[in-house]
Amino acid sequence: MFRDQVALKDFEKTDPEYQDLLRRVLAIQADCEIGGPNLYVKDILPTAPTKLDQLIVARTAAEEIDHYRKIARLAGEIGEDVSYVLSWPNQKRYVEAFRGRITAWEDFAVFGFLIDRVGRYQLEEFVGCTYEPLNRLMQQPDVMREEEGHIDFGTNQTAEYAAKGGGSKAKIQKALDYWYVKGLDMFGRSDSKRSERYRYWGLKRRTNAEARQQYINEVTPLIEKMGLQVPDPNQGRMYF
Amino acid sequence: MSQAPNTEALDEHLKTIILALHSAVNWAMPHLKDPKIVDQAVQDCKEILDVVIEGNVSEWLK
Repeated sequence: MFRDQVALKDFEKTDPEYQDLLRRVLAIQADCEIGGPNLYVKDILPTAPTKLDQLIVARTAAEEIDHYRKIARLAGEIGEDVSYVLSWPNQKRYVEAFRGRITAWEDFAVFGFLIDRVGRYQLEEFVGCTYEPLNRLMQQPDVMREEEGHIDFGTNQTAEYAAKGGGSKAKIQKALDYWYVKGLDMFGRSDSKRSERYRYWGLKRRTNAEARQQYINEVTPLIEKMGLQVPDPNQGRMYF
Repeated sequence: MSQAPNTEALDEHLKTIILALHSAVNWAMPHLKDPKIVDQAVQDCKEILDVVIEGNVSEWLK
């Protein structure tokens, strides 16, 4: 296992596989950060239930754009231009969850509750990683704190709509059913060879299966506490 | 290692965009009971975000 700390000035001296994997993971992370605003801004900013909600949508988008900026800068420093993801149509995104469009508030709420939470798991993989500039970014409180804020808002909104019962609860359950499996798929295949190489080079900490299981253990009691049904984890899944 | 082209310029441009969005939101937050102010802030954010989502990077960096 590779456990050295790699500074920017030493990046070129690293193994080509390390360089490829770092470039790839930064491109995917950048795509996921900008993918969120591309999913929800157009329809949700003008139609959010309250004025406060509209401002929160705008602030959430601003924070995600800033996360993109920070990751894009790290990628740019190693010669990887990830600006192409800014102009990609949603259908081209690396991760399937970002390929559609969010048009209903319930989906925006559950997206924060479940998908931003997967985003936090992805960022946690970089805490203590071997690429020092990325590790340093993760040690700064902003990115993780802002991601937690998105998760908390989504979780509270999901719980609020579930507590209303009736049609509101049915709509939020439908959104949960849709996003739950997308979230589980975001962890990738349990037998992924590339994931093992990320771990070998100290660019990720957990296996895909470990991270997915921890996520399931975290969200299951939250869903149950809201009085919602935990969706079938196999229904509609693409990756196992 | 040489930087990718436009790394600095894009970073600076995005910083300006992010600052403008935060300024609009922070300006409106204490005035939630004044729909005119909030609507103006939301409109400002919408115009900025529409440009980001359009993603015409080469135009931004001209």
